[in-house]
Amino acid sequence: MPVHRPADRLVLPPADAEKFQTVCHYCIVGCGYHVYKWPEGQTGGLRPEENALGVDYTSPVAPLSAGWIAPAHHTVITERDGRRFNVAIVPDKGCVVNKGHHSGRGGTLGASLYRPDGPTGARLTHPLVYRATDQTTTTWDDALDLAARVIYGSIQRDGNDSIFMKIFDHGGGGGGFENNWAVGKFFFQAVQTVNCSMHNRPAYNSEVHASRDMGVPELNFAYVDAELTDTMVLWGCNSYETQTNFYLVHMLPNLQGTTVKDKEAARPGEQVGPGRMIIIDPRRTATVVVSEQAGSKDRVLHLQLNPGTDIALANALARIIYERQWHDKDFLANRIEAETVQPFLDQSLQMDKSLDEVLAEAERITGLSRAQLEQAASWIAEPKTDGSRPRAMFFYEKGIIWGLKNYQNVGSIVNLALLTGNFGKPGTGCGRLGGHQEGYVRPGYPGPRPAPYIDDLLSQGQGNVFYVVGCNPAVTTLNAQRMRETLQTRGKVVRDALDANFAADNAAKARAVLEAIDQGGLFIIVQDIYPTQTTRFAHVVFPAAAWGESPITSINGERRLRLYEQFMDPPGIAEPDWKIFGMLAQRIKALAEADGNADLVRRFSGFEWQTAEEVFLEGGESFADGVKASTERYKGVDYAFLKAAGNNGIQTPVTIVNGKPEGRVRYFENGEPFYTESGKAKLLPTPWPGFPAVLQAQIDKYPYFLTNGRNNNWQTLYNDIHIPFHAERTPMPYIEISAEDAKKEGLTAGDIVQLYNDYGEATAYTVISTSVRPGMIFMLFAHPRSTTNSLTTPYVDPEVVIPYYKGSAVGLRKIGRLEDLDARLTYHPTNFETVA
Amino acid sequence: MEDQGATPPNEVAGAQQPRLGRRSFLKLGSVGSAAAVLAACSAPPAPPTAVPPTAPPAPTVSAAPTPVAATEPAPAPAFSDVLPYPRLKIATLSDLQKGVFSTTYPDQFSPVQVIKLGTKTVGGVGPDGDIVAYSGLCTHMGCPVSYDPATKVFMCPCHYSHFDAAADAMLISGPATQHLPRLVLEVEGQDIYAVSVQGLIYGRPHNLSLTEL
Repeated sequence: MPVHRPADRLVLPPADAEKFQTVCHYCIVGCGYHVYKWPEGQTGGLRPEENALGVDYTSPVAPLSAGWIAPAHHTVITERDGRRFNVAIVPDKGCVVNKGHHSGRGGTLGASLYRPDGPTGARLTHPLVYRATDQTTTTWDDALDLAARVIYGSIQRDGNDSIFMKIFDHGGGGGGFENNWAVGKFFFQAVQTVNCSMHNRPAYNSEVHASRDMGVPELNFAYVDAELTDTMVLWGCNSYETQTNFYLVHMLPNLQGTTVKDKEAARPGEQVGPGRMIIIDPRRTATVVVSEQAGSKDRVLHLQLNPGTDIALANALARIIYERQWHDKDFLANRIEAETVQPFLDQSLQMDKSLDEVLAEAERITGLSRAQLEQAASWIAEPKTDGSRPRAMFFYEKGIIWGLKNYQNVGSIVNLALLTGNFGKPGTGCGRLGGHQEGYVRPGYPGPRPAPYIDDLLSQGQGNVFYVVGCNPAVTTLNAQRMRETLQTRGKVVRDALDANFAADNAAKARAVLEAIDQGGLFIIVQDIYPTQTTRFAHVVFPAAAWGESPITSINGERRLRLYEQFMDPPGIAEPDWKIFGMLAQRIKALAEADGNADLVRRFSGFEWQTAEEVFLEGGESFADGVKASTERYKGVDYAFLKAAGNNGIQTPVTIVNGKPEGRVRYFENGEPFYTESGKAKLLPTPWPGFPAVLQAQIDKYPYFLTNGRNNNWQTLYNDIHIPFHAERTPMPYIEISAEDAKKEGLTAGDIVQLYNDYGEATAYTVISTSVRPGMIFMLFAHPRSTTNSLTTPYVDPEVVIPYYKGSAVGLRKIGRLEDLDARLTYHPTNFETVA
Repeated sequence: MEDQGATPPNEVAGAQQPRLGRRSFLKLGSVGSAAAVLAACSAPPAPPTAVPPTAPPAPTVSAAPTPVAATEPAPAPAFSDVLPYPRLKIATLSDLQKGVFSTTYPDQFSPVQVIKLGTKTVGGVGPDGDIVAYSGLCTHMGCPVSYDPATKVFMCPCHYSHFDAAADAMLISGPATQHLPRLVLEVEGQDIYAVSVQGLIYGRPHNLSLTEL
């Protein structure tokens, strides 16, 4: 069964190879890399002075030395003028984030680059317009003109809110401050629509509104803090697989006790030792297994709670801590708004009931034992034998953010951190771990909070134009089968009109499109780097530049702002997103000028950017000054500064001190106020809400609770599906099911199954795993070949319009086997516990 | 070179090929085996990981690398796309009674694990077609992997990359970006020979960069 193997040799960058600095564009951790580029046909030598890495290849490169170029780090690219270059993308030893490490994502950056003679040659290279039954390659002018005429006509006839959008808001690949500013300026200043949504959710909102409302910006710690803390609480996050180098480079050494000396230095006079880890997850993930093996079982506590019961758990832990007087009394008195304490005590801690009553209820809801609850509370807050308070860090991600009820999920964890005073000191903090990187800078969103639920509105026939950029809602939105049906049926009305007008000019076509919209049609524009499950519904496709093809800037999970340099041309005539929005705005402005529409001329002005840095600097000017700075504030920083700052960059928010930009390691040090009117943090009442009716109906009807998550691969595998090493390991999604349920269903590893419920269906292969308990099925998230989101309900937390992606219920049907998979795949589960 | 299948064939032999380090490059030119010459003359060349399409050199009885005959006449200047792997005896069938045997190939710096899987597998050798061998260095950062015969899984103790020996050493999960390199094996009587390596061994720019050729 031959797997993909690279050649038994590679070329080395010669000593004079071009060198660029960059940051991996995938996950939030943002590892630093160096890019080497040199002409095809040249190679460096084995001696350190003969290659650009300065590595001595005449003897074996030492393990863990980060001096080796792995085959997946390398590719051969072709520039627009036809010249071919070797490119090697190698982790940066000097970057404090990854210290020379790479994950399976960053380690394949080289292999992900566009090369017309390889699988990544599938990239979008030219604009496409739908005409005469198919999407046809065309010029920028032609595609922009049709899109501009439909958008302009729609705004004029039906108003600003007739334009709907679903677009990235993040840093890293497909984002960055440059592209985000252009998106925001286009939709909020020029179009001025409220019907906006973020790439992965059905509305325009924050995933951590609760934390911000409580005065706690969510990225408030530094990665080094995980080396200095006593107890790491990983809540709804599988960091070994999904924030790999934060886990391997910073958390694991603490668990293994190798950072004790650093702790002693950072926390003089305190009793310190090897760290502990509490992992709260309904699955026994790779993070649990690796932590137990690599650390010590007696310093790892896995709370395998019933899914969706996080709020009840957080409240119970807080109650134990308060009852035992382990809370931080000084912090409570001085740093928290007094009037928020009583509602918290009443509703979250249920002080009207006895501790025994509350914990008995928590045991029933969460499925955990009282002993486990007591142990977790003790690890978080019980003073040490020398009387000092332990320091704890609270990390949460999609298990919470996409959990049962986003607002109270997040709030209940921030409550714990506030109650125990874990802010403003080395080894403390509470925040999301993050998925993608951040890079948000935009004019203010003109809509309300909660924002409109645009997936619902689109399915109900609202909206004239749906503009999708850098995301794939046909796969990733909740209730995705409904989204695909909407795009298919409403898109067809417009396709029919374009078919009927195949010989018309764009002005006539745009009129026909607007008429079709009156008949229920939806005009769909998609801007992306690859053809996706969403581009196939599009009437206009704009090809975008990817990472490395235009400079961007972003911050990581500890707010580290860096410059990601351009080192190659975009494919074909693709352009960066900021430039596409610039060109489109200029075209709409020209239409408005021809019409004498002064209002739209004014709104669509100011898009004549020539360089990425111009956009970056313009966005930077929008940040307000003052102490309560936006997390992302980078005003005062330019590309030259970032180039000089290298892969360690500067941690935002930036303030200018004596003319020089200064960053910050962590928030709330030296009495820094919380981000509220009063400067004090707010506790939030977080009563346990129970399951919403729409979900309970599925749970009552179908035998398996369905949850989902990611593995080492990235997102929708948008790049990975074109990288043989990744693609061959996950050619389609898999489910994880317990041995007991597999036996009941007559399943063996590799069997193809269909999952179904009232909302949709998905097809996957079977992996038998200890990760799930009987009664629960896990499915890999957002695989393009069959998506778990066809099975999620339309339920959102009504306070913030954030979906409950992590919970649904399904029936299961065995379909059979795909015989070739047996010869191509390993069915071992990714939590490494082989089931006999 | 992630995507070797898409690399276009050479138009001018040697001109666009990755050149090897100086020492090995010179040695390559002096390889006098029929296989190497054949491979050098064919265009496009065989994929670099393929076994030369001719009979292997006569087996050697010692575990030492096949000596290059210094007295052979030097061939016309040519470039071989196939690394001149030594054909080495790396184990005997009786070494595999416990299911796994550790040795080195193609040089002492490259630990390998020879595995008797117990079930026939593609490319497996021996009387049961179930003997395979893989590089013992994790392709992530070069730590030696350990093998568990019960699960047939390799595990790296440094960052927990796991590889499935029964699935061609495919990565199960972990930060590695290449499956474990695989040895091409041949069996003669009781003896197991390694003749080449598919994939790139950790820590080197080509698999013979540390071999005295």
